[in-house]
Amino acid sequence: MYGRGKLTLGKLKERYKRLNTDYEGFLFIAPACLLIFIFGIFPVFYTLYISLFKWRIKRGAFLGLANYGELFGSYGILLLLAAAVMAVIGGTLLLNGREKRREKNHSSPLRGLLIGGKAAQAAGWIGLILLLPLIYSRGDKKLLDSLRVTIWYSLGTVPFQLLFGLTLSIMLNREFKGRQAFRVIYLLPYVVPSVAAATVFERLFSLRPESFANQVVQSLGKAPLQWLQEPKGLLTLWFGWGTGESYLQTWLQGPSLALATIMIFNWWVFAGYYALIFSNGLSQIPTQLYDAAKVDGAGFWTTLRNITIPMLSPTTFFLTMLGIIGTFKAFNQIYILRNPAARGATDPLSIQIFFTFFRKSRFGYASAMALILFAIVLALTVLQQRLMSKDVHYGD
Amino acid sequence: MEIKPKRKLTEVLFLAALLLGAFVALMPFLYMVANSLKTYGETVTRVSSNPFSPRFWPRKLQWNNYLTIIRDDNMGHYFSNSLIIALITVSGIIATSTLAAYGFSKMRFPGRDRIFTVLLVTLMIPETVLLIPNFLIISSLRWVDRLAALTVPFMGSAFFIFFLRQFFKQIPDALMEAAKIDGASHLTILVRIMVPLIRAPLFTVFFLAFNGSWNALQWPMVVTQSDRWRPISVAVAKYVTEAGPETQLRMASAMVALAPILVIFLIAQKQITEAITNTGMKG
Amino acid sequence: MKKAIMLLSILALLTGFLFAGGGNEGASSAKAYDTVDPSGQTVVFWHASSKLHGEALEKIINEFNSTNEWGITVVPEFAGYYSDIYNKMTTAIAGNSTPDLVVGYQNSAASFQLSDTLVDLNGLVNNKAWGLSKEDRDDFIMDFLDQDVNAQFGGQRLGFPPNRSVQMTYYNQTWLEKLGFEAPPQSWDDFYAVCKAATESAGDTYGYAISTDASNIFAMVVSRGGSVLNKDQTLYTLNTPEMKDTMTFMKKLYDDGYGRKIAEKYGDQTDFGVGKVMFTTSSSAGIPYYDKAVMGSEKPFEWSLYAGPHSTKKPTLNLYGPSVSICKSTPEKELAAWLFLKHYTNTASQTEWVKATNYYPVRKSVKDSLSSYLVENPKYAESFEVLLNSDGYSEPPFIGWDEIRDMLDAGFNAILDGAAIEKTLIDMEMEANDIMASSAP
Repeated sequence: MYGRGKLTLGKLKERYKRLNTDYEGFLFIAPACLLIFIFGIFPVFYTLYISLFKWRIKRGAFLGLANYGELFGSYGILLLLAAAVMAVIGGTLLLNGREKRREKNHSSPLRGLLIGGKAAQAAGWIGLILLLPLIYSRGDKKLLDSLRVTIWYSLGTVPFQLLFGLTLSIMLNREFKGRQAFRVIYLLPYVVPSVAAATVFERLFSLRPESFANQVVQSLGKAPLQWLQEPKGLLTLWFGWGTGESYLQTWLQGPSLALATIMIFNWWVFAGYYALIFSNGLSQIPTQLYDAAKVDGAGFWTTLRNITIPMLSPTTFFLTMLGIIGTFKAFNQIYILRNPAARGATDPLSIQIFFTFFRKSRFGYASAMALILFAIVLALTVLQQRLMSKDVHYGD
Repeated sequence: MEIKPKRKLTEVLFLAALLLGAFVALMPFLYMVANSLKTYGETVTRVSSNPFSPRFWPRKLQWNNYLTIIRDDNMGHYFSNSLIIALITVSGIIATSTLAAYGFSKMRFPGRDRIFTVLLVTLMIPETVLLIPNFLIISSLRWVDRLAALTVPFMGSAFFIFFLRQFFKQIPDALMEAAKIDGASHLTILVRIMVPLIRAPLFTVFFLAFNGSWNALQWPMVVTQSDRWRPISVAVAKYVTEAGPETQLRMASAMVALAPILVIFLIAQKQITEAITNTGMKG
Repeated sequence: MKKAIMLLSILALLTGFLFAGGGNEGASSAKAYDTVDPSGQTVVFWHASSKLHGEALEKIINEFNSTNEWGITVVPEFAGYYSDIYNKMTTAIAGNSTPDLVVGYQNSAASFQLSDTLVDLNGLVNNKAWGLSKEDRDDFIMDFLDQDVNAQFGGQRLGFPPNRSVQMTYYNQTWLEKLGFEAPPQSWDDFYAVCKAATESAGDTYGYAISTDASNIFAMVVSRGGSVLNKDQTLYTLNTPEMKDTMTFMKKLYDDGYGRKIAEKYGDQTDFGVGKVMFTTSSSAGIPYYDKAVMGSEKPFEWSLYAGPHSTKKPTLNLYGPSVSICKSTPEKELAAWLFLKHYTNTASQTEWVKATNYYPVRKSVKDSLSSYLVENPKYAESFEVLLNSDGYSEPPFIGWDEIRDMLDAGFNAILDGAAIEKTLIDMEMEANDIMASSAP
């Protein structure tokens, strides 16, 4: 079997794998997988099933893809959308196939596959982008509006939480008196019941001129703002952008001030939690590394750049990924602070799904929305794993 | 030792940042303490968002609020329910997640990474969607109003597997290979060698899982049909009426519910944050 | 890829078959209960009453359990606040494990009825043997009872009310008199004048804490003789002269600085309690809370509540409250549940209930049995008197109304912030009817 051709690195790896297969591994993962299958994966199929029906609390008529058609505007758009998505996936598969074949046979450039793959990907992406305004005008406006909110929310929270969490954990990693007490204090916003946290926050960011947030704004010489009750976008408020009705214009508005306020609340709640996870990562870094750096005379920033951040990359990867997933299905933080006055401007897809379920009792339609959200997060995760797996330092 | 001026400045800045952060982080907690000791009237009219203002605090401490909470005939019952539910759930999570995380990072078997990706997918499903299918499963198992309904569904967690897997991956394989040559089984390696090395993350799992179980509200409400297994989070949610919330009682019961979480965290955090000085690990 | 899709669809279908079973073989409303014997039945009641309310309800239930002649047992179960009960019911319907009695608002009941879960109470209310007698009908406030008749479900009666509340206007009496007004303003113009005087009187004060909540919008529209639905209750009408007047009036009040938005949850109670605002609007059930708020402030004052300004002849009020529905099961259980509802709404039970909750009873005769309570609680007595002399209108009992409520709130806010009134109202009307169409049964 190995007689044919040269013994390549790839083949060696294969042989090593064969020798090291632990079928016992299935036993190790079985209990968790079984539970997760029953209570986590099976419901996805159930949701798929529900989405094909008119389902008002109980099952009604079979609708096929009508719920999806309503969401995107028409079956035609649905078809175009599917084609675009398939083009992106197909292109990626072609490129992957090319990589694999090249691994086996270094000489062949397989230019046809390269061009075909890239072209399919490009066509798919362009198609998707061109479809958006069409979906916006023909389909359920709330779908794209709430997706936009979701994306802003994700962009406005994850990087900041990472930054604050990392800073806090490094600060608390130093030896000083009362360190333990600070650790507890910084975690408080995360463990305190959200009713309490939300009530304080509402008062700090109330539209009263004498509220804390408005005091700050006024000390900068600006007029008081309405914060959680302001549906206008930040860019509209600052530069007057995005006042038109087209889909592009909605992006130019930026996140609403109400949403931005909720983002700040998120930083507050999760900074301590991120710090806790980062501390875990820090504690796994062998102290010898720091000792060695000290001997070499490395300063704080050098150590941070060359040891701490690279060694923390698995933790950072973990937190980024969960952060993005978390913001895409975020519910509680937004639900407790959302004010009807800022209707829509603070409601991501997860909230829209909830309302479609519980306010309209349209289970089928809500399930279709949920599956779209699911598909998007799935795509993002795949993308993210591809991008990050190249840079993550696993230490092995 | 003499401290250089520049050094001193950084120290002052460090301390200032630390204190400012602590102040911001303490706010919701102080608010809870203050409001749990007010009268209803004070929670409405004696308000301030500045803890240094006297208006932030009650005129007279109303310890009665706590008596009202504790005297509630079911509080002790709810409390012990929550404790039992949380401890069983957490033990389950730690057992299944450690095993699986080890399997996904340190054992090689066909389809390993693909299965792992599928598990990750479950993190992406909004809870709203899970509620009804899961209730149907629970009721077809005849678990409604039973302890199992409150614990078993949460015992498998892709989140914690993912979390622990990150740490297992950081442990060099060389450690394991050495033990393998000595004839140790995977289970022995896991328990004897690996678990001590990931003690800190395990305590984090313990704390986070406990916190999650303790605060769960919607699911317990749906699967319980009597007080038999109702947790304390339900009691906290009781103080809302159509005309308004009894803020002071809500805050007092939130304080009571928070206490065990803080205790657990205090116990766990020393373990969580202790840096590894073990020389068994190389960088 | 193909394989994966095949597998997916097979799994999805299998999933469906697993849970597809269990039709609804509940009794129809036309069924006669005449020959049914409810003896020895046990019925479960999912309620939302905690603390004092819960104790009062338990007392009523215990009395029924120990005295009823059929040996019926009612098992009360606190099932959380209304939103919790809604979730619980939804899952219970899916799993065919509904209780016998459940409390909820009218639009929730409508959602439950999408799957034909509830008994049409017309069959029981009008039953000769078990229904309401002539005396009952004279005593019940029929306006209250008829709120549960749902036009979206062909006039089925989906619930029975144990209590009601109304939207009232609270005012600072001490301050009002100081400004030289003898009584609270009855017309909207006078209301404006008092707000102006209150704002200009002294310091950082203002006239009216503008609640942008849909309940308040509804109340203001009916106070001008308007409605948010067309005559046969099939479409929302939000671009009416009454709605325009309401918005124009409030916009002017806000622009002139005599009215301000509510800054945070219960911020209106805060400002009222510290004597900063003259008028607020709130549920009549809020009387004890306002009382405590004012008593807890540094300078307590005299305050009261009234129906608010109106341009109709009689004061008109926004009337609301949850009702109790009966879930379909066996005729015996349904009848047993109904007999408990009759007990819950009899004069003696209602008297106890009102004392604990400060809600309004659904029977006029309760006024007499409450006499000593009314003397001790003059504000409640006053407001009850107001209620009996006003017309009450209820918000639409339709699925999707919660979402329209949010929309109205947002639209009102947008108008205050400068959006064109007419255009906003036209847009809202269109959207409301879209919501109505897409969520109708």
